[in-house]
Amino acid sequence: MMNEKKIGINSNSVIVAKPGIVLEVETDNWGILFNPETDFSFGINPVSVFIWKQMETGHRLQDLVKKVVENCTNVPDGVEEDVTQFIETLLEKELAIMEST
Amino acid sequence: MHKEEVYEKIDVKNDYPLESIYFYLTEGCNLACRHCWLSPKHQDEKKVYPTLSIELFKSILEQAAPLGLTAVKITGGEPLMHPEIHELLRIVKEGNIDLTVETNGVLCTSELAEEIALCKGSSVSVSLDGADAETHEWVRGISGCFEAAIEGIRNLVNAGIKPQIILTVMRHNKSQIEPLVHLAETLEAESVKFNLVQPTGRGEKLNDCGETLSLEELLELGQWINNTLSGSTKLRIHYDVPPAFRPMSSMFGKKGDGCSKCGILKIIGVLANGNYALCGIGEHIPELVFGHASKDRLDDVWKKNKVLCELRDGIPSRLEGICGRCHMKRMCSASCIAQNYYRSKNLWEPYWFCKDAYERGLFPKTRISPKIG
Repeated sequence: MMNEKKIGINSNSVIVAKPGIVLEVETDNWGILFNPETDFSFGINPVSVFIWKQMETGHRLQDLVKKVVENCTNVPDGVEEDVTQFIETLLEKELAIMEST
Repeated sequence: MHKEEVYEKIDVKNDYPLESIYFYLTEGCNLACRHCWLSPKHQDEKKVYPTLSIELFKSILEQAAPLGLTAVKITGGEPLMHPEIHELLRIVKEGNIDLTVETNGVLCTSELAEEIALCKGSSVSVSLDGADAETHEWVRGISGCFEAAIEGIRNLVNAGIKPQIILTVMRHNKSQIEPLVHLAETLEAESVKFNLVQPTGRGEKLNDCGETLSLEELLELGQWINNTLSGSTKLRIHYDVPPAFRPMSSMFGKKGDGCSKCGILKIIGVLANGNYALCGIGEHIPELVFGHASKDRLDDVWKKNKVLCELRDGIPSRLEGICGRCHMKRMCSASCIAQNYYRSKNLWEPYWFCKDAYERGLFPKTRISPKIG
């Protein structure tokens, strides 16, 4: 179960890639998120690149976890926590926004 | 103590702790390496050069403790040539400070190796610029130094320290890269690092006479080292190009070795004559010398020196050229501010390797900020 209290994301929140953030994907499928407003760059691994691309159309946290489980290989038991932490980091670094429905 | 003073100390300590001091213990060196960027004087039985006094060493460590010191690096010249090296190591051990040693290994006796091993978190890098005596000694300029270095490495391993072997890549030893990795395996080293020749000091002369590899050659070599050589050995292999030229998986993946960066905002250098400096570059650049340990308090130097304060304010926002436009600038900090300043007299000058690559269209495009690039 998600730790909603800690991260402040409730089950109805939609996580969206912040408009204007640029994703550069490299040949090894790792990527760099770049915020031109703040000149801030953030490196992400291939699974995170996959999640980011889903976020471009906006998804709830549970949906993002489900998509990772369905589309990625060798998914660990702690996938929910990993995805939650990643989203939390993106929100904290102002690379994603949360929309309430 | 006044409340304001307490807050000031806490603030400085938290923001810019002086985590490490690089001690350039000796002005002289027992070898005469063709590529050395510090170009120390050659020391032998006939000529001896100044070394850092034990009193200053001890005093600096005492002053550094409240500023946040956790580690020291001893280098040179050649640190193991210091006449009181045993006492220095004892002080480091008793201070419970992490120790890094950069040495050519020649003077690393079993006794010294054991003393190094007794220090907290001790790590040692030993330079081997070839897998055979002929190549290594061509680079290092002194006959017999290859076997002595090998013996030094063995002494370290026997004392429980698996050293990092460092080879500085140049035209003359390029063919020795793979044999060196095999030698390092045999010697039970911990890892192998390949450095670039820095075009300063003697490295500049080596560059001028065509003994250094071209940018294209260095990039091609990096591809081979990362894609082929690394997979053929259990040893950790590190090719020391700026992070912009390294795949992120090799730095941050499960088997990644992190991003080596100059800790310029958390270190200070101490030269053999007792001068505080940005690092060893202070040997060449007077304006990067910040005072002398016998008359200036480290606390004052660390908190008030104009260059150090300027660097704290300006990294990474004031970095210029491609380094100011690079996605990796927060972790890389223009690779080596000292080298950049040496070449341009400008603290914010881009690193030569990156500048050259960018001007020739060889800088990785995905690492350039789209805002400007």
